[in-house]
Amino acid sequence: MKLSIRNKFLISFCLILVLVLIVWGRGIFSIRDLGKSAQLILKENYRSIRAAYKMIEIIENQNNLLLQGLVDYSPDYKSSFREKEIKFLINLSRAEDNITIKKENNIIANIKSNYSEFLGHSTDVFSRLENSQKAAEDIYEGPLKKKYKIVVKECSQLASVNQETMYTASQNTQKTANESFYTIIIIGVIAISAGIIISIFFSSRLAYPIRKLMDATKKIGDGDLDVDIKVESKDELGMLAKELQAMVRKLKDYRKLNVGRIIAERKRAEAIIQSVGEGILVFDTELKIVLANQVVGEILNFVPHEGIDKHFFEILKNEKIFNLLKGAVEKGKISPGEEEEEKNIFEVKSEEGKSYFYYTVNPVKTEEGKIIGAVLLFKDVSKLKEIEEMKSEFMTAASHELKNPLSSVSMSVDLLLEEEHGEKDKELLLAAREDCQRLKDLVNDLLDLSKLESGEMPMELRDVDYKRLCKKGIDILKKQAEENEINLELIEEKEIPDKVKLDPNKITWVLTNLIGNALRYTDKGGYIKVRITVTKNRIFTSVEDNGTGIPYEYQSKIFDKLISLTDKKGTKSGSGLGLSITKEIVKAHGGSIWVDSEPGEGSIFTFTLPIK
Amino acid sequence: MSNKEVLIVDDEKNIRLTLSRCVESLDVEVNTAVNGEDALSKLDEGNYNLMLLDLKMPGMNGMEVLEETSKKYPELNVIIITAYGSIEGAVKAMKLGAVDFIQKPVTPEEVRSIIKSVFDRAGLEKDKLETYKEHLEFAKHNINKRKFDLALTHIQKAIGIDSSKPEGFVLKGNLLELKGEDLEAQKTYRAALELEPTYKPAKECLSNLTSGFSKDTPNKKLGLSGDDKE
Repeated sequence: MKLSIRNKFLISFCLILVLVLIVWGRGIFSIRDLGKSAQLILKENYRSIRAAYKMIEIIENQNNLLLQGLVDYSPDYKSSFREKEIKFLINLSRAEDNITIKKENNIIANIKSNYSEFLGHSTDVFSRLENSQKAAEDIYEGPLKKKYKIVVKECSQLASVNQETMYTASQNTQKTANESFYTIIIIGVIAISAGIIISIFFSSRLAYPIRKLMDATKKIGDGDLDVDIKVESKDELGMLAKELQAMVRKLKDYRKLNVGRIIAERKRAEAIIQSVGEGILVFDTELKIVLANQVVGEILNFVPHEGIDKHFFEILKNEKIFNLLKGAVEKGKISPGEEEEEKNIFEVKSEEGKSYFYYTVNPVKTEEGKIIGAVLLFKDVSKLKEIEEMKSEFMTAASHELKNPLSSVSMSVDLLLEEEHGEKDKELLLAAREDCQRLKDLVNDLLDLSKLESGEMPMELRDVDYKRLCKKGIDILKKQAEENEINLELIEEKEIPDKVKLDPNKITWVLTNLIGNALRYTDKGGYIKVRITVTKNRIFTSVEDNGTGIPYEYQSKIFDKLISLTDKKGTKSGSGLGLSITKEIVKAHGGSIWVDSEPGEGSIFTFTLPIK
Repeated sequence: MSNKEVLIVDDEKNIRLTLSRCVESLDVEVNTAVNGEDALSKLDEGNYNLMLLDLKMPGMNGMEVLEETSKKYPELNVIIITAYGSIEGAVKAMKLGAVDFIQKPVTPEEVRSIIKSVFDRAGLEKDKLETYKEHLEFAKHNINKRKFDLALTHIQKAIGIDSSKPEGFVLKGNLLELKGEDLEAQKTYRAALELEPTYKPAKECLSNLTSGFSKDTPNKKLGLSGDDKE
């Protein structure tokens, strides 16, 4: 049976209402009953009793009249007797109307018959009294007196019968009242108990599933999807429970599906990370290891899965990398930054020799840009480094090997030039000397460059008054410029900070190299302007000339090795390495260098230096 | 400059030839040796005043030869020839009394002038020194004689006369390094570079010193921090 909560309420309330009605009805009924029986007693029986007593009184009066007639007769007696007779009959009829008891019928019938005989005998008495008193006395003393006594007796009988009835009736009423009292108490008690039971039953039946649902939802809220909601009622709560169970099942399925997918994705990601040839270390924001692959384990000599949850320093005691990771986690810094290049080299010494790893540090960000960790990536560059070192060693060795023959050639030429020669021979010897000088420059530049590239020539950064440095650099070439009638000047825009972190020797070299180049490609009467501009975090230094400029096809390669152009005299000069060295030095300072040039109009070389 | 004998030690035949030709014009007797062992035996036989010694040679290298000769012939002046830009053993050579260097490739003029100054400085008298050059040369002479403190005094005097030339500072730096005063030496080299940012010897000495210094520093630091912990 399907009962809604509403119907359950209605039924329970109706039941209680019915009980109340029963109690109520029973009470009303009893009260009415009681009233009725009391009324009857008072009315009917009382009348009968009164009639009976009246009749006795009347018949006694009649009897007295007869007795008096016997003594001295007067016809008045007879009429008075007749009056009394009528009164008696009235009372008799009253009694007759109020017959309530069976016995009364007989009694009244007896009274009737005996009274009528009494009346007959009394008529005889009265008629005889006119004749003989003796005869009258005989009749009176004989049958009349007898009848009189019977009537009196019967009347008293009637009264007593009715009194008895009254008594029993009152007894009965008492009894009924008592009965009603008890019945009402009993029914009341039953109704109250029933009401309480029904209320408890229904309320508990209602509350129980609600409590169960409550517990279940709480469990679900806590993430326990294995709850079994046992609500068997078929009302709204039962339906709610069923829906909830269905929801939980769906949720469970969904979670199972999702967990499965997440696990699969995680496994895939791990497999990818494990199979990547580069060492990967993933950290959380506290720089504890979240993930490590086999390669990084081999590089840093630890078992990858044992390293999980360990702090960075437990695996690697390297302050530089630690600071980079901290920067990544706290400020989202990426290393190496855009302008740094290949500075992040990590060296591992083992029994087999040295290995080199290029490393990068990147913050891990969510889609919303929140930093949740950092990734440290190691790339094995030992081979590259080896090749680079070999190249550098080769360059150094080759340069040195070149120096011995170059030395003897140049010395021979110089020694020959000390002697007297014909014009033609001298010209040749001078050509040889000039190119010896070029070779010497080339060899020296090659050595410098290989040292710069291999990091053998470290930057010695210190605070330098930049303006003074530039002035000195210009002073070195001032004389040469004057000889060529070229106007060399320093232009400062804005105030130049007097403390710039740089390697003064190398930056001076850069500046003199750029000015030297400008001198070579600028005609007499031209100008060279060294312009310094300062921005918030950079110093821009540009060397501008109005010389021959650089053909467009060379502009992109001008900083490459062994690129040199024909100068104003139409000859190639310089080693072709100057700008490569310049670029290396500027790069090592964290700056950049570029050229703007219009062929025939002049060139502007600009390099930047960071200010901290 | 007669009756002076010069020995040129180099494994390169043409270098020996050109150097010999170059020195001949100074009116001295020139002999050559092809390697370190040859040089030592030649020194045994003759009475040489000056040796031009190549550092890089097969077999016994220049520095080993110098170690030998500084013990055996303390009076012998040595000019070191090197093909390397950086004179890595400058301080070591100085300890052994060698203060003059020729860097390949070199011009005959340079060779002659350096030889001249080496011969000339022997004639300098302590009380008659006047110029920067004289004080510097006298200092070098004392280095040749391993009298380093005296040398330092005269370098200071030279710098006092003319503080615009970097050479004195470099020499002072070398001497300070020799005494183990690395930080002071660094400052001195930097002072030289302030004067002439492109002065090569100062650059090289400084970079040798700082790179060597930076190699030692971590160990020293670690040692200190270890002590602190205990």
